[in-house]
Amino acid sequence: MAGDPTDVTPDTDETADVVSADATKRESGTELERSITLLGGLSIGIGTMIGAGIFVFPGLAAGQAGPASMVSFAIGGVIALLVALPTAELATAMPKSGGGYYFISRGMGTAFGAVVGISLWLGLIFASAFYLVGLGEYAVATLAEAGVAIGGGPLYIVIGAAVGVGLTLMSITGTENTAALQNIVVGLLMVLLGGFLSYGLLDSIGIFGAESTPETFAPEGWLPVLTTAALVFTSYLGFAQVATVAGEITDPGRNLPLAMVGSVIIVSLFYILTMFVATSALGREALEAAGEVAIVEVAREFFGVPGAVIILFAGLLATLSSANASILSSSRALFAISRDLIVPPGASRINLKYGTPHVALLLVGGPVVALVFTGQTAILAEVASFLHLIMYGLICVTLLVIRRRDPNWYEPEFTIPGYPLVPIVGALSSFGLILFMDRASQVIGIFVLLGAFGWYYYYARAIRLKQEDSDD
Amino acid sequence: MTDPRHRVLIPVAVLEGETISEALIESLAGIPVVILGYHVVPEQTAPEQARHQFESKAQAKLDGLEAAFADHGGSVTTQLVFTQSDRKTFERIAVEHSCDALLLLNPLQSLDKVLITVRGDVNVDNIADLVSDVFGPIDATLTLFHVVPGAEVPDHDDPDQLLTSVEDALTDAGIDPARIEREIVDAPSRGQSPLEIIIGAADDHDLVVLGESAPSIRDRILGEPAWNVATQTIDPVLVVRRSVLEDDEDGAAGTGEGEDDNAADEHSEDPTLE
Repeated sequence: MAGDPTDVTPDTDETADVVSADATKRESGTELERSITLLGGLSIGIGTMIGAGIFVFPGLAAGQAGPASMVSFAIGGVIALLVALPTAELATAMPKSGGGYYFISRGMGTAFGAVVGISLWLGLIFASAFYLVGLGEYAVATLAEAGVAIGGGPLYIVIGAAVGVGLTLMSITGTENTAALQNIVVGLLMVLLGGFLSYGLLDSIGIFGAESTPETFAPEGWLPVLTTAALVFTSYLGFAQVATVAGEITDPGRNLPLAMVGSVIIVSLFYILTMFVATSALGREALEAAGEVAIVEVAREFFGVPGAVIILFAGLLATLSSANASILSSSRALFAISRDLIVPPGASRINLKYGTPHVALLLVGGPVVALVFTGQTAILAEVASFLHLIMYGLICVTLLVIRRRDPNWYEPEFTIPGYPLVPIVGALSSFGLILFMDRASQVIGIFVLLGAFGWYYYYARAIRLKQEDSDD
Repeated sequence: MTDPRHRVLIPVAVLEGETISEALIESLAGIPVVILGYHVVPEQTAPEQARHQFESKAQAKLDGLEAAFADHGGSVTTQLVFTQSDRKTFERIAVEHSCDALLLLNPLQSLDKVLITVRGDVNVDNIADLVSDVFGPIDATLTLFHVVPGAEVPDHDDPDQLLTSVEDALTDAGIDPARIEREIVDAPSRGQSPLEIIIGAADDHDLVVLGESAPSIRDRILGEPAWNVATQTIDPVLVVRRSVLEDDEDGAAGTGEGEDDNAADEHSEDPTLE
């Protein structure tokens, strides 16, 4: 099975593709329709991100860093923006499914591409598992609110795993129609959260209700602010998912940058506001004690039981949408690397009955469910962030490399402001954030990277991807 | 003055075993057609992924259809598209290839009786023009069919007059008056919706001609009426595009790209895509 050390050139010469607003026209004459609108792109980005930052992290973040945790979210938002801009430029030059993997493999060569592609697939698996554990917590809290007595034991893990199995099977049988549903869910969440946070903001600055007692802003000093930024960065893992559907988005030159940058800015504002409201409404200790469902207690503080119920419902929706979006993105990542023969092409075979990539979805759903059983929210989140940050940093490096080399085919419709500072700072901060992670997460992340490289060395060493060496 | 021939788009779900029956190919050989081979991909799947696996198979089927049309002397263009939204693709390809009508497929044994539904609010000359273009060369009965929607809907034309004007326009275009029949049905007296009446009448005919309706909220929820007819009858349905229905009589303003002068159209229709 190991690749012979002779050159293997996959059938991926896409330089001849003609990209129009509504379709990609291949050299053979076959066209691939683009059907995802700007709103759909924003909804993928926001829908993937918003689940974690608001509904899982506030308790953990406030516990670690106090009110300064809003700075942690702001740091995350700035890094995400610094990476989203280069990603958008690369995506408009290469609007192909596969996102970050695609750019890196074409810009930096097969080895980097393979490591990133494999770790993107696995990183999204860690992220999906993290969202599902969060979903389990929300389901248990909902049951508790409804007065259902819960015995001890890890019920939330069982629920999370069951939902993971359900989502995978639904994706395989093609019965879901999540794109339309996702738009509605995201719209609903924005309205609910917008109303809730506006009220909370007015309350916190003392328009109504008693002015809250100001707490020490950074009770543990500034190092926890950075470690918290590393922890909560998982809340920003959605913008690059927009790039994984770059081949399907309409008018990619305009809609890709808008969807990526727009979704990062929108969720950043939501996160910072959430932390401000949460830490103003409840003290740090109360938030920490409430753990993953801290935001529910904030809602209860403002609106009583109805508020708590609405936010519980919103939390279930948001974590479900994040988990689903990540599972689908992960399967796209697997397709991208199997198309380039970095993993066996069988991994992305399409089921004849349902028209869905059943092998890829099982290769995502299976590990996701297994990881849910660890129940380790923080580690799952950090490993996911670790693997994504490696890719983000390399995306920034890729932009620098490609711009320097300036090949003929590189004609981005969107060029970033602040070159070369933005990608340089983006790369340094992406790699730098990893240093502030928990030791266990770093070790797991490094093992995954080594494993990915090992696979490349064993299986895919002989593969030459076309664009990387064209017109040098 | 001779009008340019109208072009018909025929979407074929090539990978789902859909095909164009021999009788239909024979009937349509006289007009230029665009065969759109398409495959709908679920959103879990990247269209690129489906193309990777199915392109050669789909292209082979499309080539077969193209050859069948060419055997009957027809002028054919083909296009293969992998899509997540078939409606969007049909619309786009129809515009790109300047098609005036869309044929929704159903099997056809032989084309002897055509049901032509006529609404009160459309451009009669354009319809007659298209119908005579498509069905002029074949020897089939043309039934002009009008459903009176109901008393509460103000219908600016008297139904009889409406059908007479279509009939006149058809005979002017060279259709033998003996081939033309007419039928008017009053919807309220039957207690059925216009759509149900059309679907019922379709059973006695081999092919239905319908006008595309203006998009409304209701259609977005329930689907375009023409599509409902296509799924609920066993007949192929020729859907005349809105641009044709709404054209002004002078033809200049708001005309689709297919209404250019004759020579240009004759040249643009034959090349097949490499």
